[in-house]
Amino acid sequence: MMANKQEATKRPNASAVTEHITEKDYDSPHLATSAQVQHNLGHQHLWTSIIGDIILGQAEDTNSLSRDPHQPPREPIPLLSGYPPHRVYTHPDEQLYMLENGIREDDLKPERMFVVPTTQGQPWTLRHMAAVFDRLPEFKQKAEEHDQSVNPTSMQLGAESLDPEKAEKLALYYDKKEKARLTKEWGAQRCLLAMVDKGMGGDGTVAYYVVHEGEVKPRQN
Amino acid sequence: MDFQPELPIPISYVSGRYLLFSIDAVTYLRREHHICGVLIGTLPQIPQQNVFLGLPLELMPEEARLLVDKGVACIVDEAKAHDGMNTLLEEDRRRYLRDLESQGLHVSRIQSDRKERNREQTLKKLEEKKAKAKAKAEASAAAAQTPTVPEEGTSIPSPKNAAVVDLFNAEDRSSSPPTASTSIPPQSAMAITPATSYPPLPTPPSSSHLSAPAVPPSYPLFAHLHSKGYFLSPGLRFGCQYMAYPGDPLRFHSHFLVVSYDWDQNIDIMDLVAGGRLGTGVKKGFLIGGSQKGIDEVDSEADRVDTVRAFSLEWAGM
Repeated sequence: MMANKQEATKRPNASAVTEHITEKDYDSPHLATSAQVQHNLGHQHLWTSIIGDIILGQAEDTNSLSRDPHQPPREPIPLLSGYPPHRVYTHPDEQLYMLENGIREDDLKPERMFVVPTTQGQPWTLRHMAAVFDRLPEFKQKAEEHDQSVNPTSMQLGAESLDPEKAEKLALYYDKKEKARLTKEWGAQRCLLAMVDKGMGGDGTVAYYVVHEGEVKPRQN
Repeated sequence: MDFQPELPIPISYVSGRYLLFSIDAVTYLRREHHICGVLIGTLPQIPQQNVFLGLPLELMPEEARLLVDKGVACIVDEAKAHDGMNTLLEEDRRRYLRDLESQGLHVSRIQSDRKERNREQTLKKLEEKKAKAKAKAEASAAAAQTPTVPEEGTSIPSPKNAAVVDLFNAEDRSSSPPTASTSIPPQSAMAITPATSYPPLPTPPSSSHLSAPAVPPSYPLFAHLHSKGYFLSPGLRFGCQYMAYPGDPLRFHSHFLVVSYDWDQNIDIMDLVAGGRLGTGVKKGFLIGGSQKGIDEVDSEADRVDTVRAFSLEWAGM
């Protein structure tokens, strides 16, 4: 009698991130990882206008040994991109230039960052890494188009409020930055590698590492 | 100073190790080819003194291979090259010993010349001091106009100076005859221990050179970084395969902890975290990379070096 009256133990509600993932109903575990990282970026690191992209995997029929090294791997690789509230990475030479010219990080317009969500135990090779960097320019363009469609005037925002001296300095800086992008003196392409621990006791921590293409000297932290 | 050794430089292959015994070759390779190697020579009497090591210099197989591929060095089997020692003619032996002795004489002459110069300088200084003291004494005598005080003033330093001068003179007397006469007695020749044995032995012919050293799969990345001007050293002490320095390790801190992977070799994500964390902890980047082509897909290692791609990791701090 008593047992019947007692209510069956209710399972606690799923966490926000689990709900977020189940809601989307992904067919690939990689995309679920991507959703978790997106949630983390948006809510813990307060990134804005996060968008996603995906590098499609290759069909299984090709012999892996004789494959072209430029071909992407079998598994799909999800990509994310968004605007962090503060700059995540500044190249040491760029920092020097900014110091010499009295430019502060707050003066600069926000910079879109790109993220590769991964999880512990997932297959990862140099081929994956190369595929990500080969795809970045395309994704960058996509993101720019997205930004323009959402807010066509966002790029000009704040420019009027600056005094002319500072505006000139900033113009010089952006010129220099464009040149540095071509010569790669302030580092080549870069993205963030997000790593999620999903094993037993995975606590939802996401570790972020900056990955550069090529040899880029370290920051003197 | 900038000694240019005869190329190719013979690298001694001794029981699986690539060694260099000539200091000229070692400095030349470091200066011109950014190859540092590791000094492994210790003192036979105090082998536990291993903070400052000397010749020979051990090269990694990668370093030896790179030099051979560049045509700067060749590999010589030391044991075989010394077979000729038994057949050395008595005449050659004597000539070699005479040669060593004349080298020793040359060294001792240089040394005594240097001593002589130092002595002259010291004497000059002493004389100047003496003259100054005298002038001072005379000046003070003139000022005081009492004859007893200056006498005391000069009498104190003079015996001292005389003694010093005498000491030098005595030394001078003992060592001046050899410098004066052109023939130095053989006892005064410095003993020379040559580090290499190619003057008595003929330089090994190119037909006897061993083939290029076998290298680990990480060679393409090694050669790639070397071609970009990095100095590379073994990375065991720092938990990686190589350390990459942007210039001579005596002048620069290293930039990267380097680990090489094959193109389709699985990388544990945790290794990336560990490496990135380790690198950031010591203000370095963690660099991974490898050749896009396997060794069986190309004709030579050089083709693989051109297809290397590398990525550097740093902690993002978020």
